[in-house]
Amino acid sequence: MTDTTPPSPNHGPALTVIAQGSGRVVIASDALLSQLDQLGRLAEELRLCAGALLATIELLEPRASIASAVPPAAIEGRRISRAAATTLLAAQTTAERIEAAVRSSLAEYAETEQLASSVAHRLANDLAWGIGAGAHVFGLPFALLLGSGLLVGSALTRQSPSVIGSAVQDYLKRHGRILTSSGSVSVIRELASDADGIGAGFLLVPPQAASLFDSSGVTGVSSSSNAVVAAGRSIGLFEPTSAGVRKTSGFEYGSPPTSLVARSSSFPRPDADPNGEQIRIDRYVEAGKPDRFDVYIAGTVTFDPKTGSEPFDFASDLNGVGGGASASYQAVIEAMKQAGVTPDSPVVLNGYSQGGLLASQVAASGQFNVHGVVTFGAPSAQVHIPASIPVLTVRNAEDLVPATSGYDVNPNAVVVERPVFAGGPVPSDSTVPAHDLGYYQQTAAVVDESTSSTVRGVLDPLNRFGSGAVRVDSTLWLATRTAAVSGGR
Amino acid sequence: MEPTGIAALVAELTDARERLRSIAGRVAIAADSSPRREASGWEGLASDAYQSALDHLAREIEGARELLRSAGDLFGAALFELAGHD
Repeated sequence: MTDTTPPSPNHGPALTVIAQGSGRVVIASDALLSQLDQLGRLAEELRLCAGALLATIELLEPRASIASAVPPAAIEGRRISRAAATTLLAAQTTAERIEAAVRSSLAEYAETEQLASSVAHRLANDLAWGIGAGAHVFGLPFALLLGSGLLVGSALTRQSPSVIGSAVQDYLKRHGRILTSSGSVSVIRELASDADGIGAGFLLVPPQAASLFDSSGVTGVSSSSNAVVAAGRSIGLFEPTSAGVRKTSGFEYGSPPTSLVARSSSFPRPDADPNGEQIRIDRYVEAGKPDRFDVYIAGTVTFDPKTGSEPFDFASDLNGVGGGASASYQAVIEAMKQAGVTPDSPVVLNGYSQGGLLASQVAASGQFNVHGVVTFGAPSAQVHIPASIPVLTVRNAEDLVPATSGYDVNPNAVVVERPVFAGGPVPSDSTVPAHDLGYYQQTAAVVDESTSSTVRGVLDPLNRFGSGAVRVDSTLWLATRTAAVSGGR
Repeated sequence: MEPTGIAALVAELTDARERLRSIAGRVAIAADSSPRREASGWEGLASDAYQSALDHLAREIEGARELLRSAGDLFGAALFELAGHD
């Protein structure tokens, strides 16, 4: 495995776990979930102790032949022992009641959260429709006003509009809290979900019909994303192409990951590596067993909307969020096949940012024997992954990239979320610092220390996935766009 | 009282006292691993209610431990008394 030097975790803010199971959503701190597990184990141990004590008392049942010889202290000791057993059983009941009450209140809290979210989404959707309808009526004057403003600003500052754009970006970096806050993330998530409402309003689709389409899933984040792609293509952007992959290097190296930090540290770094590989595939070899694979998929390399040779670009982001097979998706599938991953090979898919979206899409495709999906900061909320596949979704609370895919639709994902800048300064060296992989490695270190059964239940099998391997063959793959696809998505 | 009967009683009480010691040890370990105050995520009244419930649980466990100690002492006293009969 690659560099597994653990980053120094920032142990300040608590880890929040969002888990769904048996139709119930639980939102709680990892510490509280651990305490509930403790209460369950405590209740069981108290029950066993009480049982052992009662069995001991039964053994002391005085026989008639020696009843007169039994000292009063022994009789009293037996009585006190019975009282102790009763008290242990009472404590067991108390522990069970506390656990049940807390779990119930957590479920109610989650339901309230969902209800509030649903109401907010409905209101926001109505608002979005109004904005769209307003744009339809006042769009041209508004556009003229905005354009005039830019031109006036440009004239006053004697700088081009693009420079003003850069200035805005610099401003956002200096005032990091504007984009880097959990509040901004909520707004982005809602906007992503309501973009269609704006479009429906602009087209003057009746609000009831727009709402019906939204709630039935006909419209939503994916159709919004596809609309952006379609609009971009009309002006020469987001040109569709196919993609190919080439293995650039292969080496025998290290051992399989046994922690989330190790996984988060295993992604290729196309922005830093000379060749720019975006995909890494590790094969675990063990005699008498089928080869297992860990696939690591990097994030977006370029946000240039004009299609070049790089498939891990903004177009693939939009295609992926739109539910389509992007060029980067094709590249990942091709790399897996060339690396020897068969439909039966056990495989764990790991992805950072766009890579997490791709990992989720590959798992959802049903083409492979996926034993787990791990994503870091991925805009993959809208990908329906089969409930049989364990999913661990890691998010930094201030990272707006995952929020661009809207609300989670996965019924089985365990989502762990942690604020990375709570109460501290926001770095100014990046527009979206909470999305940096380094901060995700810190969060991974905190997740590794989780003791709640909810998190351990998904993480421990991942940590054991490569156990027993006698050799790890690691390969790096470079994906590039190839021929343009006519009429493709 | 026949000696064999006394001997059997002594053996039973000795065995019971050992079992009690073992159970008391298990309860002590369980008590040590029970949840403590630092429950994250609770605030205000909910935090107070949760802590109050944990305190109640701790008192019950402590009560059971006291009773186990007393029962063990009483078995010890009974064994001491029986030893005087030898």
